[in-house]
Formats: sequence, C-alpha cells, structure tokens
Amino acid sequence: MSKFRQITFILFSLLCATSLYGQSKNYTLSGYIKDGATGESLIGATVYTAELKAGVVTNDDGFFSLTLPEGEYTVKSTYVGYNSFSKKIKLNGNKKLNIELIGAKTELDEVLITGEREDANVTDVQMSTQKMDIETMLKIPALLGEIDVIKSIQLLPGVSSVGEGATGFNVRGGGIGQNLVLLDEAPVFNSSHLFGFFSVFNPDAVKDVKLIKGGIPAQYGGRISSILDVRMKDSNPEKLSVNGGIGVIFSRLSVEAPIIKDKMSILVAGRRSYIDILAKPFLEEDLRSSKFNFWDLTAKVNYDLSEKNKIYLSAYWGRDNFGDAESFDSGWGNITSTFRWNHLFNDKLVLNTVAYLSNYDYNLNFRQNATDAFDWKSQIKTYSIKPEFTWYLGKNNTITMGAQSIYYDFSPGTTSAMSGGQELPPFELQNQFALENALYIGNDQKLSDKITVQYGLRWSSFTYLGPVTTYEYEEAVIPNTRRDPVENSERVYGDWEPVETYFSLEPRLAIKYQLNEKSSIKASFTHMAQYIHLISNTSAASPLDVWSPSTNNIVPQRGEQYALGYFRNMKDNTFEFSTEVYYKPMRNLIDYINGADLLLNPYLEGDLLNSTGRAYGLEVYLRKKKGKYTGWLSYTLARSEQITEGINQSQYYPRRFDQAHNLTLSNFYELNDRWSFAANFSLISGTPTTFPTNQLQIQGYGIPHNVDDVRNNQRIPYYHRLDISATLKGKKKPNRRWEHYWIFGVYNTYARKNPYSIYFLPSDERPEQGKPAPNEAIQFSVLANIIPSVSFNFKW
Amino acid sequence: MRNNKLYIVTILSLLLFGCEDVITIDLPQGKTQIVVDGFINNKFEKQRIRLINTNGYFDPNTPPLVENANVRVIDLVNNKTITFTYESDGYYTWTPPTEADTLIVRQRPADFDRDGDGRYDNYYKLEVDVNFQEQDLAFEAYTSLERVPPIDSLIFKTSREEKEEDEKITAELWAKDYAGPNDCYWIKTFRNGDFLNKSNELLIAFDITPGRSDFGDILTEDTYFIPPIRGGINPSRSEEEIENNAPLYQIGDSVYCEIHSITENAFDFLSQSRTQMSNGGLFARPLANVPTNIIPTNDQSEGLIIGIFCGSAISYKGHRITTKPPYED
Repeated sequence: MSKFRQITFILFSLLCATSLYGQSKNYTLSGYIKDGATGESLIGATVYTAELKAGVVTNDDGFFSLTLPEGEYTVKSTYVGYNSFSKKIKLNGNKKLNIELIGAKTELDEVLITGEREDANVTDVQMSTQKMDIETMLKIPALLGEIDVIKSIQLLPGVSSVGEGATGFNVRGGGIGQNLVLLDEAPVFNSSHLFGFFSVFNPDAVKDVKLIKGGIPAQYGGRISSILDVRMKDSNPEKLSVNGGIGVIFSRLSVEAPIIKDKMSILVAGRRSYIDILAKPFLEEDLRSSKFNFWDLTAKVNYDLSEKNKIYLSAYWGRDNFGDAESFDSGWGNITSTFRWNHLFNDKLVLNTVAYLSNYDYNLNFRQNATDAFDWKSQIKTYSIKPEFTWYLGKNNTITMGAQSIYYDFSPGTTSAMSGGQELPPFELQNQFALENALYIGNDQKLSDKITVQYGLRWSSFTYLGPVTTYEYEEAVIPNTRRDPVENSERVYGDWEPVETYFSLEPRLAIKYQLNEKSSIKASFTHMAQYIHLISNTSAASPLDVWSPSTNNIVPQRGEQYALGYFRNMKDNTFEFSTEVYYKPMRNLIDYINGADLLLNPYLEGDLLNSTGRAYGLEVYLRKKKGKYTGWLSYTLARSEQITEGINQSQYYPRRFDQAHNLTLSNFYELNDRWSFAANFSLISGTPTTFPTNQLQIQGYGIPHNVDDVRNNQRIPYYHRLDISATLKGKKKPNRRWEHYWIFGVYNTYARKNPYSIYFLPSDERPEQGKPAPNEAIQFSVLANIIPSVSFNFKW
Repeated sequence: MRNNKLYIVTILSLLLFGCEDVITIDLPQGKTQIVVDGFINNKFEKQRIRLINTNGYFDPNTPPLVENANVRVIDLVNNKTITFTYESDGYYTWTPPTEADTLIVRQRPADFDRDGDGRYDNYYKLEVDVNFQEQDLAFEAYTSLERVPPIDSLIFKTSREEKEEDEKITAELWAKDYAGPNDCYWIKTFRNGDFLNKSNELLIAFDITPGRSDFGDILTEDTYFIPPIRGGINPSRSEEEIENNAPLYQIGDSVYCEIHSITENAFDFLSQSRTQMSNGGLFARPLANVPTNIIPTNDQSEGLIIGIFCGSAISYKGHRITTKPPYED
C-alpha cells in the first residue's frame, strides 16, 4: 500500500504544481470541429498554430480549447481523410472558431470517421489503446458478411477470444467479465447476440470504437482489464438519410432525420435476424414453430440547445429469442439509455453530465401442459450519474475531474413452478443491492516538447446494501470443496443498511517521451478495482450467467498493469509501428470448486474460491495506412495464468483463454473506384484443456479421472483461418443520392475444422449390461466449414 | 430452391450445432488407485462392495481386481460388525441371514444427527485394509440408509403424430418427495430386465429437482418430482436410432423402476459423474475429478483411494405394456 501512497503523493504534487503555470495576457480560442457534410462532430481532430507549434485535439464532442498568448496566428486543422483547414486569426481576446472540414475524397461512400490524427500513435501520451473506425471494420471480411465490432477488435494485438462462437473478448490475459463494455457510457452486460456469433452493436449506429487495454485514464474504473468505449453516431442534422443492408442472416435499416434543421436530429437503426423465418418452410412440422432470432434497435437524438448547451439522448434495446413456441421459450437482452448534457461554462471549462440506466435480463420458460410449468427470470439493473469537468488550463494542461455514482440492483434468479398440477412455492434468490461511488481527477500535462504525462487518481468505494440476509461460511477443511454456511450466522439487514464497504485508491500514470518527430517511448502504470463479478465456469460464457456484487464474502478484484512501448511512424505516417510489453498481476479473481452450482444457488458464495492471476506479454503492430494497399500485421506473445488453492495441486495453471501466439494479417486492396478486396488470416495457439489419465468404473459407468488433479495441462491444436471478401460499389450517378454496394465474402476459405475444444465422452451406443460404454475423445469445431456469403448495402 | 434450403440448413447447423469428430489421442495412463464401488441397500438379498483398480481412460476391459482385502461394515448404532467376504470379479459380499438382519433405514427426524456432531451419514462405517502395491493400506467411509418414498404409479402415453408409425410410447414415474430438506434419490429403470445404463440415463433427484435446489427447505408437503425427473425414465436413443425412428417403449415391454435413497455425498458423486460424462459443446466445464467419501486412515493410503460408499433404501414398481397407451392429450 505504501507504493500507492507514494504515487498518490507524486500525482498530487504534480497536480498542484500545474496551477502555478497561470500566465497573463493569454487568450483562448475554442470551438467545435464538424464534418461539413453530415454535421457529425469530429473526435480527435487536430487544431494547431504553425507559429507556436502548439496544438490540441478535439474531445468526444468535437470541442477544442487552445490558450495562446496575444498575437496573430495561422490556425490549422487537420483530420485523416479531410481537406485541411487554415485561417489567419488575430487573437486579442477570447475567440470562438467553429470549423467545418470537408471530406478529401467526396466520392467515397463511407464517411471517414477515424478519430485519430495521423501521427496520434506517436504523439499521444495514451498508449495501449486501439481505435477502430467503421470504415476499417467495413473492409474486414466478416462471418456471413456482417460487420462486427467485437470480432473486428479481436484482430488487434492483445485481444483474443476463447474460440468461435464464444461471447465477449479477452484483453491482455483478462477474463471477459473484466472488460467494461460501454455503449454511450452505459455498461452492456452481454455484448453478444446468438451466443457469441454477432455483437450487439449495430455498425450503422456506431461512430467510434476505442479499446483501452492499459494506461487507463482516471475517468474509467470498475473493471480490471480493459475499457471498450463504443460511441453512437450523431445523426445528420441537415438532411434525411437512409442506410441499410440485406444479408444472409439479418438485415439492417437506419434512418437519420433532422427534427429542427441544424439543431435537433434523430437516428434510428434497427436489425433483425430472419433465419428462422427463412428456414420455416424447410423444417419438419415439429420444428416449424421453433424460433431463434434476435433484433436490436438503437436510437439517438442530438439537440444543440444553444452555443453552450448540447443534449444527447441515446438508447439501445436488443433481444435474443429461442424456443419452440410450444413448451420451451427463452430470451435475453440488454436495454440501455443514456442522457448526456454538454455545457460550456466558458471557453476553458466544459461540463459533461451523463446519466444512464442499463438493464440485462433473461428468462426461461418451460410449459409441458396445463399442469407443469417452470418460469425462471434473472435481471441486473444499474443506474448512474456522472458529472465530469474538463478544464483547459493554459496550453499545457487539460484537467479532467469528475464523480460517478452507480446503483446496482441484482436479481439473480426468481422462479415459479407448477408440477403435476400442484403450484410450488416461489423460489427466489434474494435481490442484491449495491452502491458504487467514485471521485477522480486527472491531468494531461505537457512538461516539455519531449515529455508529456497523463496522471490521475481515482478514489472509489463500494457498499453492499440491505435489504439482504447474509451468511458466514465455514473455513474449508479441504480446499476446493463446498463451504456450508455457519449455523446461526444469518444476519438480516434492512433497507439501505450497509453490509460491507470497500474502498480503493487507484493511481494512474502515463508518460510519453518523444524521441523525435517520428518516434516516441511511452510507459504507464494502472491500478484498477472491480466490484462486480461475472460468475461463469463454462468455457464460453453463457447468456444465463449471473453477475454478483462484492459482498461480505466476495472481495473486490484488484489489478495493476505496467506497460512499456515504443512507437514509430514511417514514410510520412504511411506506416505505423508499435510494440509494447505488459505485466499484469491480478488479485481476488473468482474461481470455482469442482462441481460448483452457480445458478439458483442461495449459498453461491460457498462454491466460490479466491484466486490470484498474472498475465504478461509482448505485442507488435505494424500497419500500412495509406495507398491502394492497406492493412496490418498484429502479433501477440502472451501468457495468462492463475493460482487457486486446491486446484492444479495449488500451482499456477494457464487460464482457459491463454494463447501463447496470436498472429493476424489483415490486407485490403483497392483495385479501382468500384472493386476492392480484403483478406484476413489468423494463426492462434490452441487454448489449454485438461485430459483424463484414467477412468474409474463404478456401477457400470466409466468416469474420467485425472490422477494428478491437474488443470489445463494440454493444448488443443493451432487455430488458423483465412477469410476473403470483395466489395463491388454500384456505379455512381451524378446528382443521385442513391449509392449501393455488394459484399461477397468467404469465411474460413479452406474449410479448416478449427478445434474449439477437445473433450472426452462415452460413446452414444448402448453399452453391454454391467460394462461401461467405450470412451471417446471428441474434437469439437464450431464453424467447421467454408461459409460463403453475400450482402447488399445501400445509402440514400 | 433446393440450394436455398441446403444453404439455410447448413448455416443453421453450423451456427447452432458445430461439428464433432471422434479423434485418436494417446493418453498416458496415470498412477493406479483403488476404486471403491460400495452401494449397499436394505433389501433381503446379497449385498456387494467392489474393489478394483483405476484403468486407462480408453481401456474397455475390466480393470485389475483387488482380491486380498479385508472388508467390514460396522453398524455403529448397534455395535455390530458385518464381514464381507471375497467372492469374484472384485466383489466382496454379505447376505443378511434373516430378514431381520437387513440394513436399517435411518428414521427422520428422530435420529437426525443423534450425537450432535453435525453428521448424519454415520449409521454404517466401512473399514477396509489391504496390501496394495506392497503397501498396507487402510481406509474407511460412512453412510446411512435414508428414507425412500413409494412409487405411486408408472404412467404410459402415446404421442399423437400424423403417421401412426411415428407415434412414440413414453413413460412417466409419479412419486412424491418427502417434505423436508436434502432427500436425494437415484432412480433406476429397467426395460425387459435390462438396466438403462447409458450415462445420460443416469437419473438422480435432489428433493424434487434433478440438481441441487432449495425446494426441500420451502416445501411443506410431499410433492411430486418435477417433469425432467418424471419423464427421465425413458430410454435415450443414439443419433443413429433417432435417424431410424427407433421406438422408445413398445407394446410388450416390461418397465420396472426403483427409487434408491442416497446420501448427499453420493448425490454429489453421481451428479458430478454425470456432468463429467456429458461435458461437451460450447459451454463445457473444465474436466474435474469427481468427489469421493473414502477416507484414508494411514499415511501410505493418501492419494491411493477413490470411490463412493453409499447405503440405499429402495422402493419399486413395474408395469408391462400390454395395449397401446392412451394419447397424451
């Protein structure tokens, strides 16, 4: 803890020092940068003066504030894919400057939204961050031609998944429940449709995707691995436009429309899968009523109230439905809504206030006939408010300061059942309530031409609240066995009565040292705390998994990360290169006893084990950003392990998603105005698994047994896959807004049966009486074939 | 149109079912351990406890037998020692001399935790000593025989289908779990005298549900098992049998069911065994060893003994299907 005190002290000293920098006779130039055609605010666009070589980038609202000494300047603004802007300005007082940039290649179908200045890779202090723009995602060959935010980021260094069809993603050796997935600042608890085949983000409604793997700034907290910040698109305030696509498995449609011209506009984007409808005529009668579909609807309203006030309201509803209409029905989905108010006090101080609510729930219903039924529901609701000030202090400091409160309401399981005509008493797990609070302050400070630091401190607390009944659990005599509640340890807490409170002081620090114009070295330290936990012991998380708050028995997860990187751009930013190493110790991870009962278990805490983890690795990224051929090479060498008393002989064992090597080669080639091609190749080490060494024959069953009681001691074979696609753009007709393009794709081009896992089961045949069935090893592949696809996309 | 169909069906199956291939893997066999297969019951018939070795996971043969052990079961309530003698095939047996000598079923709640040590599975103690791999091993285990409810009825129905040959005869077991917590059962079904012995036919109940649940604590009256248990007595068909439209039960079949009360330890053992024998797909759990309730009593026995010792009370009911059962609706 003394380490943190030191860091905290240093950070505060630095912060105090910055206020001494106040200078006289300085004026502020501030304003917004927008896309001249769509009115979309541009995030990360550069504004600078050639005379002083001073510059800033726009924030998430496209706002910038640049403080300069009195004088005459040539103000320039640049942004990837846009014509640069230049204007002479006499700064003799605070001034407003709203800039509209015009797309450099107006013939392009897609609006270029990259959110990065050309050399941001080298010049930004932020490291371990990957941004991916929609234009790049559109090019990546995708399963069934459907662009997918989460599948796309898995092609970047440090990001992986346990296998095809598995929900979520793993960042730098962290579990999927350790990523904070934000959609317009609201957390999304299950980011997948159809288990893990598609993600819930509709690409038509996404503006910007940013994944922060390390060096996480102080405004983010609550998960120990990464932040995936997905921002919805601002709608076009000037004219009505329609986007859409028809694919093999689902179709999309989005409409953007001005409500009050140039002031208020709305975006509504929807998707629905229809494979069940298409399949219906071909299915046998008993399957005809089955349903398996998903849909989602994303909406956003922007309102420019005045020069100083902007309001955004965005919402997401999505649902997956599975069932056979007669006896079985299930569904799950997220709902989020975010309200954001952006207020400029003056040209140096901005207040952003965000309030959101997020809901995830699932249901399972069985109904055999009038006399037998079983209904099961589970839900997580969160409500939050987060005011945040950004203060542009002088030309060298940007201070971010804010607070966040999150109220959680977990309903882990409620059932009602009828059996044989007899109504069973309702069986419910008690609701769990908690309040998470955080205060944070951070500063981006330019210490010299060469050194920029970003430092911050987040103070967070988490209180597990009543009404609740708590238990204490016996000490495990044998580790890795169920712990029963101690008799008479029951304690009943009333409404809002605190059961347990945890505090964390989370220092964050990042330093950039600019070696020269083209290269820099960056280092960062992050300490994070995580108060809510994904409870899942299956190889892929299932939609039925529950989240649990930290309680009197479950302590918060904590993690640090140390990262060091070298960044270099070459040939006028045509090539971008970076390499990073990281080390990530993690504490209080959740592990599970053998045979743990995770669903509908009122004594769940007794089935959980405390575990310690460590992850480390090397990432290499080389990208060609300009020209007819673009693409990247991403390579990760990594290890992620954990140690739990009573598992694997209490030795470190690789986590289920541990992959030593992960190589991706993404290639894009633009042949001409109409044809472009893409090819993507991935080569990934096999994930670990456990093989039995023996069997025990009991009562005629052959039960697998691992005599050394080891975990994940074997590897499944390498994974490799090649996907290709071709895009054909329709002929552009002058004076017509209609544009369209076709995407032809082939996923898993050489039809490799990539193993997802290897498991061991008795054969399906009926065994001889008294003898066990012969055992078999089975290699399971999720997408074991070549999958061609075609989709049609249009824009008006 | 045909191509469309093919494409859609392919995509569906790709997305929803994946692909399983049986592969050949060389699994080095680990250290050999002794396996205790000790299920005894309250019937007036020969009681058997089996001691064998673990063997290779893919080894289809009977594993090496443990033939030189001394096996005793001690009635801790009446201080009586019952000696099991070696018969053959790894089995040590004892037959109650008279009906009065059959094993005793524990009464609830009268002798629940009679000595206040928090344990109630302590009516009978198994004691074994054996020379194994030139070491003198000794181990013990405890159990009680728990109450078992009677089977009210076996009910047969015919599913209504468009074609008569598609109709299926299915069975349901109707029995009520006793009010009160933690009654565990193993339900065994025999078709024409043959035990339904596939691992996915292993049918167990924790009070009224197939898995652990809290219903025992909240139910105040005897309650029927829920449908997955009631309907769990039907044979499981292989993929091939399903393709060939093989019947479940047929007219002429005899169906005989037994409910064995089991201890919570045995429930966990069987439940986790069942999981380990069906642990596949996208949502598989890590392979983990099933629990054991066998306790080594000397140092050299540590890590050499696994298995389960459990006493059962048994109720049963049989039925021969002589005519076509009524339709389900």
